[in-house]
Formats: sequence, C-alpha cells, structure tokens
Amino acid sequence: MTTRRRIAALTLATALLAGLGACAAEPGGSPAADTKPVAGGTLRVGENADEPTLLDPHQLSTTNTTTLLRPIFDTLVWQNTDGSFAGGLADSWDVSPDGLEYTFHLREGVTFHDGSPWNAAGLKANFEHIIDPATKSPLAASYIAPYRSSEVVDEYTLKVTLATPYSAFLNVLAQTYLSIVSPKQIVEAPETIAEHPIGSGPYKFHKWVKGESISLVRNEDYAWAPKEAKNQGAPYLDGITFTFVPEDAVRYNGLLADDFDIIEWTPPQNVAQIEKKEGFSFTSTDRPGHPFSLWLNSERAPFDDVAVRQAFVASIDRKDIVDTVSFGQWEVSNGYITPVTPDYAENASAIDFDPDRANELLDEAGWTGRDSQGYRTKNGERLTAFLPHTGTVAQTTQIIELAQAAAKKVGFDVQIQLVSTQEATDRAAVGDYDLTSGIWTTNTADVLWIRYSSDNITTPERRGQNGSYTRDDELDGLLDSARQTTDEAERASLYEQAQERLVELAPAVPLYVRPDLVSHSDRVGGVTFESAYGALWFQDTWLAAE
Amino acid sequence: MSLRAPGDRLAASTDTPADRGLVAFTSAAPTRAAGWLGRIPLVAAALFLAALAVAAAWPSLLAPFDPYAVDTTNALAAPGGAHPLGTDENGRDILSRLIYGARASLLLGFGAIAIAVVGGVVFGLAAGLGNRFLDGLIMRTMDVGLAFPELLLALVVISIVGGGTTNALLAIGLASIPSYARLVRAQTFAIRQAPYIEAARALGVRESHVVWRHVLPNAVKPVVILATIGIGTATVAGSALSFLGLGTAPPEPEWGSMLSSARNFLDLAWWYGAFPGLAITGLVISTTLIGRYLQQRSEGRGA
Repeated sequence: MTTRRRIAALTLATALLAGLGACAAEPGGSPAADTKPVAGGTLRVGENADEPTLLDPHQLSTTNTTTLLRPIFDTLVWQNTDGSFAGGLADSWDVSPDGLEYTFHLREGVTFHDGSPWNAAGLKANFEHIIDPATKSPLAASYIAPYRSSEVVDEYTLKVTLATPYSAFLNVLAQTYLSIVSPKQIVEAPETIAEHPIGSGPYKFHKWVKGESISLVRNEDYAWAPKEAKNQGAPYLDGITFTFVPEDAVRYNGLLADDFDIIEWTPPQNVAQIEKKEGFSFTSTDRPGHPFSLWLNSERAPFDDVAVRQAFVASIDRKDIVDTVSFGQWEVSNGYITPVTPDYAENASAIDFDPDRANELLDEAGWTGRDSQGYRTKNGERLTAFLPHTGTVAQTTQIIELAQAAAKKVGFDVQIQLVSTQEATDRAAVGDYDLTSGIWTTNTADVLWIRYSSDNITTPERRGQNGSYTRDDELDGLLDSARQTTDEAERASLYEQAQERLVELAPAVPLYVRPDLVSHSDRVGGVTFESAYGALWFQDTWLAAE
Repeated sequence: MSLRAPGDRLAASTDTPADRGLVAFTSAAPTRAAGWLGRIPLVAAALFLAALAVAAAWPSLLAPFDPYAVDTTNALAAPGGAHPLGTDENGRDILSRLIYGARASLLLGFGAIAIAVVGGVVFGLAAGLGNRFLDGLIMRTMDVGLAFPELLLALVVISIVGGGTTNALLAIGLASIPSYARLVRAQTFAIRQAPYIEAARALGVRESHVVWRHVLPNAVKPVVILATIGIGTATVAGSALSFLGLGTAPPEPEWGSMLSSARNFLDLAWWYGAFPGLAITGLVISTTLIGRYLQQRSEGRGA
C-alpha cells in the first residue's frame, strides 16, 4: 500500500506542479491543484457493469458495494489508512481479556436520513437484521458468524457477546457490507431497504434507474464524519450519480467526452494515455484480501496430488502475465494475501516461476509420458485440467489464455470451457472444475480461513467458500488459532506460518493485487479512498465550477 | 422407370428459368466483353472463397506462425516485419489466427445454413403437402419462431445448451429454420397445383415418387439461392455469438472472438480489430455476390 500510495502522492505532486505551470499560461486551469474546495455540483461517476440487484448492504456481496453504499451509510468502526481503527458510529470500545465481549460506546447526536435517532437498541437491531435467516445475507452474516448476542447497557452502550474469540471482528465491522441501516427501517419495513436504503451517511439515496444509474443527494445534517476526513461537516457535492457502463472503452471515452467526471475501473491499457492527457489525472489504491488467483481443486485428479499442484504453480510466469494483461498497472502478488492486508508475510521466494522444477515435479509424480500433441500422460491418460469460464471480463480471459499457454509448456492441457453464468455458479457449488478464477477482497487475513479452512468446504447443508477443497490439519489449526487469539503479535506469527504452509500446499496460483484504478477530470478535487476495502470515498470530494 | 419422363419434361417446361440458372452458374460462357468486366467482383468473390476454403482445409500450409504461440514481449506489435498483420494482446500472429480462424467461421456459416436448409425443407414440405392440421401446426410453430429475430432465438438456444462452436452452429441453424420452411412451403403450394403434378398423379405415379422426384427438386431451387446469401448472415451471427463470448472457447481463433477481444484496444492497435473485421466483411460480401448472381440467373436476368 505504502509504495502505491507514495506513487499516487508523487503523481499528485507532479500534477500539482504541472497544474501550476498550466495556470501560469492559462488562467483558471486545473482547479484541483491550487484552489480550496467549493460546494455544489453533482459528481458523475462511471462504474463497470457490476450493478447490485438490491441495495441492502447486509444482502450484498458484490465488488462495487463499497463505492456505491459508503456514501449512504456509516459503519460502526472506521479503518484508517494506516490500518488502525477509529470511531465510526461508535466512539470507542472495550474488549474483555478473553476476547469474547465487546462493549461499544456509541457516538451521540447521530440521526438517520428518516429522522430516527442512533442508539444501542439500533445497533442491536442491525446485528439481528444481519443474522436473521430471512435477510439471506451472503457475506455480512458469515463475517460476524461468531456473534452470539448483545445486550443494551444504556442508551449509548451495547455489550456484544461472541461465541468464540474472533480477531477480525473490528476489521469486518469497518466494511460497508456491515453498514448501519436505519433501525426504524429495519423494524418497520425491512423489505424496503433493498429498493430505498436509509442510512446515516453523508449522502441520501435519491433514485435508482435499474440497469442504468443510482443517484444520491447531499445529507445537509451530516456532522459525524470519521476523524480521518478533512471535511468534518456535510459533503461538498450536491449529489452523486453512478452510471453503470459495462464496456471498458465506452467508460473510458465517456470520461474524455465529459459524460463523466470520474471513473473507476479504468481500462489498464488506457492508463498511460490518461496520465498524459491534459486536464485529467489518474490515481489508484491496492485492495486488501486474497489476490486474484487461479484456484486448484484438490478434491479430484490431477490436482489431488500436491506435486502436480506445485508443478502447476511453478509453471506459470505470474509476473509476465500480470504485466502483459495490466500494461504494468497491477502488482503481481507474491503470496496468498495482498501486501496491504494486515499480517501479510513476504513469502515470494517459494512461489517463483520455475518451469524446470515444474517438469521435475511432474516427472517424479509419474506424468512421464508424452502424447502426439506434447501433453504429459500417465497410464495413458492426458494431464488435463478443466476450467469453466464465463468470458465476461476481458482481462480474466486473457489471464486464463496466458496461463494455459504457460502450463502447456510443461505438459498441462488446460481446457477452457465457455459456460453461462448460471452454469458457472452451479458447477462452483458442486466443485465441478479443476481450475477456477477469482478474488476475495476483505481487510483481514481471516480471508485465509474463509478460503482454505476445511470448515468452509461445501457440504449438502452449507455452502462454503473453500473452492480449492483444501483439507490440511496443520493449516486448519493455524487459521483457527489466528482467528481466536487476542494477542496481535501471536496472530501475526500464526498467519505468517499459515502463509508459509499455503505455499507448500499450493492450492492456488496467486496472480495480481486488484487495485482501484481511478481516472478523473481535473475539475474533481479531493479524490480519496477508504481503506477497509480500497474504494472511492466521497466525503472530501468536490467539483470546481465550470 | 418409364413413368418418370413425362413428369420431368413437364417440370422442365414450367420451371425453366430456375433450372437454367443453376446450370448456367457452372457452365455459362459470357458472350460479351462487358460481361467479363461486370464479373470481376464475382470472380474476386469466388477466389476469396476458394482461398478461405484452402485456409479452412489446410491452415498450416498458409499460416506463417503457430496461431497459439504466445509471445508477451511482442504484444500488440504493429503490422509489418515478421508479422504482416501485427500481433494481438498476447503477442500471437494475427494473420495466422485469421487463417486458422477461417475453419471455425466457415464451419459456422455453412454448417448453420445446412441445418437451416435441411430443417426448412423437411418442415416446409411436410406443411405444404400435409393436411390442414399438420400445415397449421407446423406453420404456426414457425410463425412463433419468425416473430423473434434469429440472433435472439440463437441466444435462447445457447442459454439452454451452453456455448461453444458446435452449440453456436446448432443455435443459428435452428433459429434460421422458420424462414426456410416458409419459403419451401410456399414453393410446394405452387408446385403441387402445377399441371405436371396433376398429370403425374393422373398417370398413377406413387405419392412418394411425386414428392421426391417432382416436388422436392423444384421447391428446393430457390432455397439454394437463399441459402448462399444466408451463409454470410449466418457467419455474422456466429461471429456475433463469439463476440458475446458464447461461441468458440479460447484460445481457439475465431474471427468474431478476435473482434471481441480487439474492441478494448481499438485506439491502441487498429490492426487487431480491422483485419478480422475485413475477413468477416469479405466473406459476407463474397457469398452475397454469388448468391445474387445465382438469383439473377434463376430469374433470367443474369445471362
């Protein structure tokens, strides 16, 4: 994070100098560089196709949730840029020595958009809404799975009891998926949250044109911004309109054509262009969690053999692929969590690109035959791995094609199967694949428990997220202890061991750290990111007059 | 079969233009010099299709590179030098991928139309010759099919059976059946009331013989012409499905999917999108030109 942030800061400084230079020649140039924030204007944001199907944060798991809903909602806890936690709707909290009791002291004087007040009963209502089976929460409920009960101590104090100690509790409470919804709405009309969400955030929900856009308007009463915000009062902007633009090129050209003031998901191939364009700027931040990866299904052949998994991982020139696909805009991931995630341990050396070692491993594993097309065989069977793929994201298709070509060089026959989104979901549910691609963004190393604990293997009763079907007692032990310890140093050490163990188990090919690539017109000032997810945050954002 | 002759002679006398048109395409010699000039596009089209046929049959003869060979150090290289048409985002040679892609594209175009023609003829004949109930049942079903654009129907088929080259071919073929069935039925209606059919029946020719020997050949002639033009449309539909990521699976080269990947790089690498686009355009124009020519001949305007 620091490097990228530093780069971003440098770019900003350069832009500032360039802006000043431009000002000398052209009065009234880049306002973002040299003027004070002004109020007014509606910010037009270009998003990708990832439009939610409903707007209840507790019912969402999609990538754009944070950008879209952070303006509407506050969270109980705020994560600072340096990774520490500060007050959100809670001023402070006490944790019992055994890590089972969290006492939250709530901020006073907070009002929701519907006029209802914020208090301990409201927080309790939110927890109960999240874990209510009727909410069908895909993410929030599992993020607070250890939650057992809570007790209102007084108007502004809530004591939460956990079933087991949970070291990531504060982390997840800082994420938008656990936003605080108006308790009045939860109690009186929970079904309306999906269409018309009511929070306490700096912007109020205004309108949702499905398949097209979501618009928000300023909350004039907002006075409880996190301390990290420069602007402690109501936001500068009159409103924000998010428009969903599936086509990369259309989104990018929409920015150039002044259809948008700012876009997320800048196509990586266009970054070099936008950086050179007068009147525009580019900035990015890396996201925490699990990097974008190819997961190997260890439940079935050929990846049930750890040597074959290690060989596959070693056969992929990860840096070459990531550099090619992202035009150098993404950082290659050297581990199973990204560097901006707490408790990241540098363990790159063990997952180097090494085709010689891949060949050795495959020879030792008995895949010594070669068929007429050059693929390895064993007992007459070709070394084949099936990869169902929906083809909806161009960069993912390219990554898969390049990985396929790389693995072929050591004798793997990776078969890409085009499937519908529905079929992909169905097959993911029953583990009908050898390889699958994906990413998991979250602000805690507990993502390793989500993706690799044998507790999270799908059973007939419960859909789990361990898509690699990793079952390893040693890893299970490390991940369980890490999520239960209350000692930070011990947690870091446990996660470090877990990351090392993962390198041995080779359940995935980690590829890139997903950044938020943001391009904007120089009319936009105060472009900032929140850190719990690494998404645009509009509390300090303003728009210069034309 | 002694009874065949009268029917055939009658057929020839009532349906001469179409008959002559088909024969003329293979054997007619132009009589005037202007005819040659006018036929340059036609010859060019035929040559282009012949080249594609060679590319589809023996791609390794023509392609300078392995179409799957990735070279990331050479991604999006401009045309010229080792790569006459440049490289794609994975550094693969575009010319070689176009050549190898000809097979998938032609297969889609010809295969889909073959399905459409066979299906159309079967349903059209059955409707045209069957009783009113059968006719109604088949044609109302076809009308439902006709109510939707072909590509939309193809998407419905794909969403049921999944993507891939074979499924895309099936989808487009099935979706095109209704328009052919309608044409064949209309032809059948006209033919079954023709004097030579009545004559054949009056002479006691078996019904199956009448259908096979007299109705079918005459009903199918305009279909062949329509199908030639249809090949272009089907190729475009196949490319459209691949463009949407529903056709050929990567890394197989296919013109539509090449165009699809290229669209994100249009402002950085014009060649990546331009050449697959030209190939598709060339195939469509060629088949259309030849189809139109056949049509004109059949209507007696071409000679």
